[in-house]
Amino acid sequence: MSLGEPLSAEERATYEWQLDVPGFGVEGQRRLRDASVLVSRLGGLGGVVAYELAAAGIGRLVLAHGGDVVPSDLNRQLLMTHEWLGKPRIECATARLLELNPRLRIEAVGENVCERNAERLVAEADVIVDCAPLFEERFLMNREAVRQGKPMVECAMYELEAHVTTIVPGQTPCLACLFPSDPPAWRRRFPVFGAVSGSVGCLAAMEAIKVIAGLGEPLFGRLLCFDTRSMAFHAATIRRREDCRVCGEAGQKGAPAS
Amino acid sequence: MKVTVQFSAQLRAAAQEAVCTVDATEGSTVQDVIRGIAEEHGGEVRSLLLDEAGELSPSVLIFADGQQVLWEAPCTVAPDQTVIITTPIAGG
Repeated sequence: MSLGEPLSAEERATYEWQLDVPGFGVEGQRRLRDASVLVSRLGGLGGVVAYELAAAGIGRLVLAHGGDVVPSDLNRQLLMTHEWLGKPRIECATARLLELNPRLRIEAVGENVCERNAERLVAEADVIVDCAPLFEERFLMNREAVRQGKPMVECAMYELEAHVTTIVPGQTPCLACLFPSDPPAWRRRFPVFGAVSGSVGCLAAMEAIKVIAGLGEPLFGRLLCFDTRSMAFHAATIRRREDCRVCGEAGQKGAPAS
Repeated sequence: MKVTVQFSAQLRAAAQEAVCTVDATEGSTVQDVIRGIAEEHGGEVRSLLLDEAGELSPSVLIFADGQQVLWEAPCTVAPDQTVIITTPIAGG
């Protein structure tokens, strides 16, 4: 990736604490500033991902989230506030992010990822962070990420547990390798604390930062699982499926199914 | 031999326990152990683990010794092994 302008004095002052991180430095900061990340939905997960990326100095966010703020958002969706109840989530989130980082460029899309917009939204970004609650949306982003060769950070939660992994098309398992079929038992509404979604949101943001800046060892081919009941963390090796309908040989020859 | 099985996500809620110990016969596979758990628990646990044909749902994640076990690749269990089973989860 060719890097743009040198860091400004304002940027150096804002990011001085992270510029000192070994292996990151000015070059890593410039990579972040020159990068674009798609965050699908800005709920308990995506809101924290977007906020952490904005704080870290990501250059551009492509944000997709439909609907208005409702009371049940407020236990975990940290970009949403009480005074925005009944108003569009995407506008509330955009305002909050720009309060934190006015240099941030945002493409705000007031709808969720769907068949009609998935290809374009993924094309707008260098990295995708999948925070959607429905597997239909998640599989759409996975399909487009594989088609377009874009890394995608996958994060998810349930009750006090969470998962995160980072997909690199052609190198690691994709979402359809992990879940070859639409999980029939998954429900849109499920129990969770905001502190759990926020925890995995921070980890997912860190994965995106690492991928963009070439820092550390992202969770390529590994699924990090943690349970905040016991604070047990483990990372397991995950496997590609040769017959995967999206990234396998069959998926690559024809139009992959979503 | 004893095998420890940990339940995660929706499966944990359905089983109403986080962990159980299974007596497995020599040479049995992780897949055999999971089928046994599905049949023993029945109800929601069975419906999360098995499809209508009685095969393990392909979207159930199984881990043994830190490695994913695919349903279609039989994996022999070892004494005192821990198997982790988790069902798909998402964001929100």
